[in-house]
Amino acid sequence: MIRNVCILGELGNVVYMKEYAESQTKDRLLDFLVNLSQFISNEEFDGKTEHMNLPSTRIYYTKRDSFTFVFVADRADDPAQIEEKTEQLVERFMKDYANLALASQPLDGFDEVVDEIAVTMVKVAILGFAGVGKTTTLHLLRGETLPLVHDPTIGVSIKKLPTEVENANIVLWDLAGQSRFSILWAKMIANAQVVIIVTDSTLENVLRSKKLVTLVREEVPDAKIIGIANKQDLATALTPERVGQILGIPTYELVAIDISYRDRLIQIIRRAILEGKSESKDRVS
Amino acid sequence: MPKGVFIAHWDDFRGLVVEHKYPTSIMLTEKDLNMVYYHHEKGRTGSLQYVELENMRVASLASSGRPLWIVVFVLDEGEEIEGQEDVLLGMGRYVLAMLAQHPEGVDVKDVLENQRMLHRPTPEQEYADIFLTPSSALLLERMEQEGIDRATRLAVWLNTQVQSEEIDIRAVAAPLMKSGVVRVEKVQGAGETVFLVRDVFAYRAPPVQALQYALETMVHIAEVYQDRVTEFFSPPPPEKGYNPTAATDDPNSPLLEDRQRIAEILRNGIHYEVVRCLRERPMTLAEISQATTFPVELVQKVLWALEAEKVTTHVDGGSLWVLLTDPTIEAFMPEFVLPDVFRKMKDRELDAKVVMRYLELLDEEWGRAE
Ligand SMILES: Nc1nc2c(ncn2[C@@H]2O[C@H](COP(=O)(O)OP(=O)(O)OP(=O)(O)O)[C@@H](O)[C@H]2O)c(=O)[nH]1
Ligand SMILES: [Mg+2]
Repeated sequence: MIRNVCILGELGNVVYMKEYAESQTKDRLLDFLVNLSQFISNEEFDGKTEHMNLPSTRIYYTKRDSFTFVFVADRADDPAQIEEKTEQLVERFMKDYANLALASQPLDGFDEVVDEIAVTMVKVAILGFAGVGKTTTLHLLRGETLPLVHDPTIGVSIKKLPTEVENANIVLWDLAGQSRFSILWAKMIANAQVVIIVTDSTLENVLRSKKLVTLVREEVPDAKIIGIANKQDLATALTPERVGQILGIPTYELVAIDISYRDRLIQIIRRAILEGKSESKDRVS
Repeated sequence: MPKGVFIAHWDDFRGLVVEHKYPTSIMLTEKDLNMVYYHHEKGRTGSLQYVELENMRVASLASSGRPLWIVVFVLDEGEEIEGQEDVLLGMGRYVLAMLAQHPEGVDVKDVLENQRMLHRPTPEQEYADIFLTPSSALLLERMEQEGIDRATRLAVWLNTQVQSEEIDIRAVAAPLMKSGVVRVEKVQGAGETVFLVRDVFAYRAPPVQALQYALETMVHIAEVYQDRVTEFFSPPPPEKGYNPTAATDDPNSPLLEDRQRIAEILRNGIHYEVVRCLRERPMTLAEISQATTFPVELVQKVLWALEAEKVTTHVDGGSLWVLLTDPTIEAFMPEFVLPDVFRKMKDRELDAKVVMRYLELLDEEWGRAE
């Protein structure tokens, strides 16, 4: 998701700044950008947007006339999506607000324009072997009646999460777990910001699911991975701590057929999106 | 004939998204789309996939590159696929080519009702793949030196050349095998052996046939046309004319770059059709559009693109388009490797059995033609 939107004027002065979610590097970033904006010239961009990678985020920047435009987004965000947004914003700003900014007038209404443009699609993929409760989890998240029998998902089921998370539209990808569909997993987690690996908390299934963690790390290295120890109501269930230990990822308990878990789970996903991948890395260092 | 068609593309956020549908009454569920996608990911690209959906049977073709597009034909009840595979493939190729180059011109109803098709790749298009597949041309160069080599040795050599662990000799060799440039056989005692049976050469040929046509029946443009061609191929000194056989060791040489362009033009189904028309005779924009069945705006775009590549040009105040240079890839017998092959046989570097087999293969390939 987009974390910051910033517009700098000719002298490196902040013309506009908006923060949707914290990004640790913000202060250093601003210094850096002010310097950058002095050195780069319009011709280098030719209307295009450049980007640069930081440990947990990616900075997109472009210059038009005397203004430098900056977006800070997650590494996991699809660059094409963010570049398009940057260009939309530049266009709107230059058309309706550039003159106001030059005259140091207030930019009335610009905040709403930014809010509208800065909404991104955030993909959350739900991965796990057949029958572990992925589709049940999807229904739980969406507040729908829970199916009682296992109707295997074919391919994938893609649904919106109605709950809002800041400026993100969340799409849930409930992948099919049957082994014949395993050839699709790598393709289907592409561009996911968060991947939830669901297990049914049996030892056999959890051990098998380690393979999924490896797959996710390889295919979407920038995505945040969460483990789910589902079916905690069953006697065979390992504790979430044990499941987390085996998988090597932060893992949370769940009874997907129990509606009372809904809010907790939504909070977990929300936090995963807001914190992004950076959180776990920074804690280590 | 299929009773309907729909076109979908893959989107990392939305999954398979249907962009065109004819007739609009076709109903598709998420499951249907997923099954179509699944079969393509499982199957081979470039071939039709048949899928029984919950309440329809479909045959579909997917694009090879990204973004992924899938053209899906909805078959009529009881409709047999046998016998119409070529038509379905042809229409599928047509739509995929249009999507890649002129998406705003895609008209699925027209494609279906008028059976708009793009024919299957010709030999020269298959040769083009050699120059468009990473390391494939490199492998060809090696075979031009060796004539015969063991598959395992080639793989080792390729690895040292490219210095990448992940190089897949099969993928690199595929265009050479598919186009019949090399043959791979198990020879007793020598293992899997690769034989160079055809060599290929990409160049710009003078547009002989079209020029002849102009000289005979379009006298008013013949002289101008002739002059333009001469100017390209053999301008008066000190200008240097076109010489595709000049030695090239430099990987950045303009000739190698030009070979790449030639291959790209031949491999692009729409560009290729336009070139094929103009090989025969000069034509107006409308005539090309009619002959190729591509929309006028698209043909215009292509002609301009080809003009920038010095492949086409226009005469007669812009009303007639002509071929200036003819992008060509030709196959010929690689007899130049034979002296070396015989020497190696004498030095016992090559088994006589293997060399015998090579001669047989060359004879099969070229013997009858002579
Ligand atoms: N006891 C118990 N059963 C559950 C729980 N969560 C899901 N189930 C049941 O497990 C079965 C399979 O659930 P699904 O959600 O369809 O499984 P899935 O992971 O989507 O399976 P595929 O689509 O085939 O990959 C259903 O019968 C659910 O009712 C849980 O927490 N406890
Ligand atoms: Mg399911």
